[in-house]
Amino acid sequence: MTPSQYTLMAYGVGVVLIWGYALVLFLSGRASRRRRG
Amino acid sequence: MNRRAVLQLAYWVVTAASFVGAALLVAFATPNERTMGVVQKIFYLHLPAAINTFLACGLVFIASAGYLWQRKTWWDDLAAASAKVAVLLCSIVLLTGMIWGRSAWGTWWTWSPRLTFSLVLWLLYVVYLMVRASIESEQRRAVVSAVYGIVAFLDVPLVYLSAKLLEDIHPSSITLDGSMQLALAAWFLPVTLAAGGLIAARYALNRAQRQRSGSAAPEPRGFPVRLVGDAI
Repeated sequence: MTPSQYTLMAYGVGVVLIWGYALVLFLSGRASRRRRG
Repeated sequence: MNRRAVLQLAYWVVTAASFVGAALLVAFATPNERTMGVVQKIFYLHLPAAINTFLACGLVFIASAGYLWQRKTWWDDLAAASAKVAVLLCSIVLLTGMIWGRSAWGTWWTWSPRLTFSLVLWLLYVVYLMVRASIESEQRRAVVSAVYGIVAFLDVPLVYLSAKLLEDIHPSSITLDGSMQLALAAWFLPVTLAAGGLIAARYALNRAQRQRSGSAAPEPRGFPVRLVGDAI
């Protein structure tokens, strides 16, 4: 792998983890609100 | 859509926009570092993630102390939310560091003091979440995890000081020119906004879950006498 690919991989990992968790929380919040009616 | 939902949406839109802005800045307006080359650009994400990990761990520490002092459940919910985000951010620090190390040092991992203390930090907060999940009694869980949350924070200064005080392959300082400093500052904004937003969202979920289970009322204050009995 080239240094550019390693750099892209690092940013990809960071962005996917942060926004992946944000999506999980969003979906959990929506499900929680639905349960409460 | 109510006012609160609009504000939340606006917050995340600003966070996403600052991610895009910071990424564009690093890609097109920041030069490659002379010795490390393009892979040095990982640093602009790595350092803000590390600082925000420390802040999230600090919030666990403050919320844990707050719970032991006041016995209010919202402190416990805040500690739990902060610990989850601390694990997430610490994972980013470790993974981006490993990727950088593979390119710069030729190895994914080495047992240098800072790397080792960082891995210990990650493990400490993963175990914190496991401890929380393993105790059924809400009050006992809150007390045990509050004590644990205070003790676990002791690793944060070790992570920070390890590369400065001990012989370490990890860089302890780096010289940045003007555009590099701007890129670093630009990455602090989205990472800090995201960390704050994630803690707030996780905290709101914790409160909602506690209210559904009917245990949101504050517990009687009894520190430190009650602490000993509850922790055993």
